[in-house]
Amino acid sequence: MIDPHWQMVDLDPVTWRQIGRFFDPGQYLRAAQPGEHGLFVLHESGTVLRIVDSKTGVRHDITPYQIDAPQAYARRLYERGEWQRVHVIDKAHLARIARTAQATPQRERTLDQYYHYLYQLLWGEASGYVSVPAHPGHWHGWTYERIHTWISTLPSSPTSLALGVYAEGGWLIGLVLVCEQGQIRKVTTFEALDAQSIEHGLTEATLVILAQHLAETMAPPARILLCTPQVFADWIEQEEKAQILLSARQQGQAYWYEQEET
Amino acid sequence: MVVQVTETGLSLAGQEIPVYSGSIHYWRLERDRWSQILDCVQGLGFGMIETYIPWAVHEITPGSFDWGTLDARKDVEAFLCLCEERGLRLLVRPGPLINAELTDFGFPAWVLLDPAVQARTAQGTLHLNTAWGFHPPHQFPVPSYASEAFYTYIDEWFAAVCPILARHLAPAGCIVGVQSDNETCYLFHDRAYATDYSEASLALYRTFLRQRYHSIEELNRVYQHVYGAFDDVEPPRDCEVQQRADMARHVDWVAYKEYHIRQAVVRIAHMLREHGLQGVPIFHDVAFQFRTPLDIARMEQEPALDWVGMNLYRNKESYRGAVQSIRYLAGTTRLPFVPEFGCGIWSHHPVTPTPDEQEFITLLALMYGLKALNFYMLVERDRWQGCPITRHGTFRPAYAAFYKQLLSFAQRYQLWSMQRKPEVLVLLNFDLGRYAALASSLHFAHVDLFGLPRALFQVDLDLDLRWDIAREADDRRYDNWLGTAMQRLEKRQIDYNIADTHVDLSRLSRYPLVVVPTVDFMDAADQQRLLAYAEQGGQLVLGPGLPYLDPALSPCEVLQKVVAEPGGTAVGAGYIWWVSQEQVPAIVDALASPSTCWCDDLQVLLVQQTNRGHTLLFVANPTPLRRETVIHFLGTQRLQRVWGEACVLSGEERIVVDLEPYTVQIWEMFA
Repeated sequence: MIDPHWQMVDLDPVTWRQIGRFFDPGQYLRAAQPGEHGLFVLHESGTVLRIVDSKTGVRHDITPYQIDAPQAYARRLYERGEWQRVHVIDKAHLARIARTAQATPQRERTLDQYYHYLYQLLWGEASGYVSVPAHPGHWHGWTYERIHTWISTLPSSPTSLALGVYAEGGWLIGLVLVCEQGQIRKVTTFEALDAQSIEHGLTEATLVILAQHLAETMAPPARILLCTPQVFADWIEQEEKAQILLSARQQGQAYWYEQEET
Repeated sequence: MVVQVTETGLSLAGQEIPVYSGSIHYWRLERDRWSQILDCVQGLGFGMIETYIPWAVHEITPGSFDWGTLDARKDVEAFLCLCEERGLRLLVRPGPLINAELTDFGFPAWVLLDPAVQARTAQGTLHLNTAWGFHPPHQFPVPSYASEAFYTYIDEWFAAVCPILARHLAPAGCIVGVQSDNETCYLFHDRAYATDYSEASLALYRTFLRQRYHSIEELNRVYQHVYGAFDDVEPPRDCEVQQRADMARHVDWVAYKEYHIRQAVVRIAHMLREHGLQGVPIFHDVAFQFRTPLDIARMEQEPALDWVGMNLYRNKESYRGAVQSIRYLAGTTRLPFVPEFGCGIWSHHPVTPTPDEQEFITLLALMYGLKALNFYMLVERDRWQGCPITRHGTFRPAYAAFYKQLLSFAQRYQLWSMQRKPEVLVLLNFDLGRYAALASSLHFAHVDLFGLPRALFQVDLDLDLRWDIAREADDRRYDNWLGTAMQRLEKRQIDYNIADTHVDLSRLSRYPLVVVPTVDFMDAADQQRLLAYAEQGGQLVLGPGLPYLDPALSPCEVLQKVVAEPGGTAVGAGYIWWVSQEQVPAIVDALASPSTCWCDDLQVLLVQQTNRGHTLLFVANPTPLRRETVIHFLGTQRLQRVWGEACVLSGEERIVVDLEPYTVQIWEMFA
């Protein structure tokens, strides 16, 4: 998906400030959520090494120090109701992840494939990292497979994707990707476009002009989504994504373009 | 040396050259835009720029180089000539490591994929650059800086690039400084037991042990072990300390990593000299660390390195870290220098700074004594945004305005010559930093991605020591001895610098008062230096403990020989004050001279700088709220605002100022 030599140019700082929060790959892997009160139990083959409460620090009062069944141990602690999540982590499992992931130079994997591989290593072993509640297996409804499949269905010839989020007379986000053969080759922003192509704001007209402009200057667009910040936030965070967009379009808060199937 | 490093910048034939520079990546910019871009650079007021010379970009296949024949953007000599035509000075950074957000960080792929070059983790695997942190757009095996094969490749690169650079050295040419490597530190995987356990690194480790102990018998005595030869000694691969006797081996491994980094940077500096880069200073940039495995004080003591700086990328919320870094540079280094001062940000960073934020952090750094800086990047390019100049050679007005104003202001006040005069030096205890490093675990690749709390990485050691070492070793805490001392200085609005216990005696002697946290152990040479400082007339405040051991926990009585009990002890012309944490505020109050200028609001920061009859008062509001505060001083003062909207205030012993959130005001003071 990510071309190892991708080009990222003409990035307008406003767009980049808005989307920066998506660049932490750990958030797509880990169970711990921001602000969550968690208990972390580190053990080595069943022997507890350290217990840390994310609010109060090291805990010495939690027993037993021997874990026979990590899942049951985590469940028992979780049921005490003190923590929003209990993590029971085998140190040997973390060592295995590092060892396996770094066994070869991994040059054949793109970076996204490599991080997905880590995700599989982290959660692929039932008792290695136990989280109660369990990791949901997706991030706000998004999965790697879903995105990878979607990118793979785009035409193999160069094609563009665009996202515009409009508020208070300006584009908070104006993102353009150029893809080819399932790889993102170029990342840029509306700054790289002719200003006239986006001057009409969040309208159907912008969609039409932008599609034409992208086709002429970058690559024929496969998908364009223009919407309000609230629609964008809901689309990212809620699991019923299609419904959110359909409803927003009826209210004039979202417009999209989809290239017809050939 | 044709170009000299001074305390305020560089000097060439007696002429002062301020280091107010900005980065440009010529190979990423269209050749026909270079002139227009340099017009913009000079239009902002810059007289110096900096560029990397990227190895992999120029060496396109092994032994085959493109210097502009195939791709005009790679004509580095044309770029150097263009700078010379315009009278621009230049800092160059030919690597070998550059990062620069390049795929493979600027290393040729065939170098990285040579097994003889690759570093190894404690588990015996490759070390991929993604192991600690997020490094798009592709993973690669990290090279070992102990590998002779690696240095052979580097030598071939330097043999190609250095003759070009040598033709452009000052005084005839534009190049006034050269950097040896870049942020050398295991590509950010800097934890003690992470890497490098390659055969080459282990051989170097054993050389280090030989230099340290001279004989295996002496090592065996200290380690309380029976090794037949140095080659039998294995380093720890995790924290394996069970008893006091285990400490020496762990401390040595941590110290070896400092030596490894220093040795690599020095070796590369020598290679640059051997390839003809003479007459200009060689510097190095530390990424951000000022604790082990980086040892900036000792790095600067290496004759091969003329000066060492530390990079700084901070947002407004993390301003405390910026202040601490600059205080450390001011307290430790020859020329407080930030070789990469955030100007815009890399594309995978979560927070692209706004113009206001860039202004706030830059002025704050200058306020605390930054003398030399290179804005990285001055001109946008692939994988970087938020700069004053676009890659097309146009201004980004919202960002450019600040830099134009700053360069004009710096010139007007000769800002690099303005002096802060803190009378207190706070020392970080280097041995406590080593202890924190060795008493930790989970140094596996990718653990940083899993959102685990910091405390999970620590290991509690039961070594039957008198003081709580883990608590005192944590320099992020406010509730230990060091935290109490710093808080008291800040509460009393007493300006101070920071260094560590490896700083030399001449630097200690600049301060009437030195404050240092001490516990059961401290290196004998460091104790000796502190003692000498007191004997020469300094006031040394230490605590909560008094060292009676060395870091390997063998008996070591240096300070203990002269200090018998808590309280003050006259030593030569000075004093040593051994105080508990509870006594720290009182002793600071008693020994530190009160500030002659202070304000009611302790959230507001004040610093005065003076030079040639000018006194500037920097006033910063590092909070998200607007603040109004009273500034107190002695006698009558008139303040003329010289940064921002013109304004004059005057008063008898007090003046009220109003500060917007996250802003710095600069006032010239007239008594």
